[in-house]
Amino acid sequence: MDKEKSIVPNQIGYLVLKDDGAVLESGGELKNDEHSANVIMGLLNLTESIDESFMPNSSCERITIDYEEYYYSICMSNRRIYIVKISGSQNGGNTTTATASSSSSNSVYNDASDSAGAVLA
Amino acid sequence: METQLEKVLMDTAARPDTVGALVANRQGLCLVAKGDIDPNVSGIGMAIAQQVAKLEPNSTVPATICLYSGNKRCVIKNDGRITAVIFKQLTANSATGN
Repeated sequence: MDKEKSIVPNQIGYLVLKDDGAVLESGGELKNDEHSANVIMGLLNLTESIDESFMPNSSCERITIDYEEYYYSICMSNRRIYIVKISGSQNGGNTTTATASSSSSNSVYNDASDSAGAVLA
Repeated sequence: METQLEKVLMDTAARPDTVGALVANRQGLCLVAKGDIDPNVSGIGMAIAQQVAKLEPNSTVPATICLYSGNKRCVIKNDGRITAVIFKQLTANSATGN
């Protein structure tokens, strides 16, 4: 009965969008979640122009949104946008400041990048 | 008034791989910026934090957002009153150190 596509281990839900924001596939907690799709498309539009001198326009290839119990990983590949909601925190769930989270999670970010790359390859 | 904030940002900007850091207020205006970061980023940083807040409106704990571009990262966190934006660039040393 369980035919949900598994993109990464511990996934709670996933969305695959076209580059215009149309939902191509969805599953788990994000099944038919057009609200999340719209919010993330708005986010992607904003991230295109963060700072031309630091990150050239449209060069952002991955985004993570980290909550205490789960995080969203958003990847752009082949004109598709892959959004996966994954249980567990990238930084141990004890972040008190942005500084702490950014510095403590370097190795975990790389791991996540490797697994996402493997899935998308 | 911003002395304490400046001290925290000085410490943050001095961390390994950190290029620059800033703090914006609720209006997206830059309060303090340290290191190599354009103070004008405060507006877009605030907008990104507000956009992400719509994703989980019932969440009590604000999210940490991280944008990746090659070896560069932009970390954004909003606590409801202020938004912190940190630019990081990984060096070869830190990449192999993991």
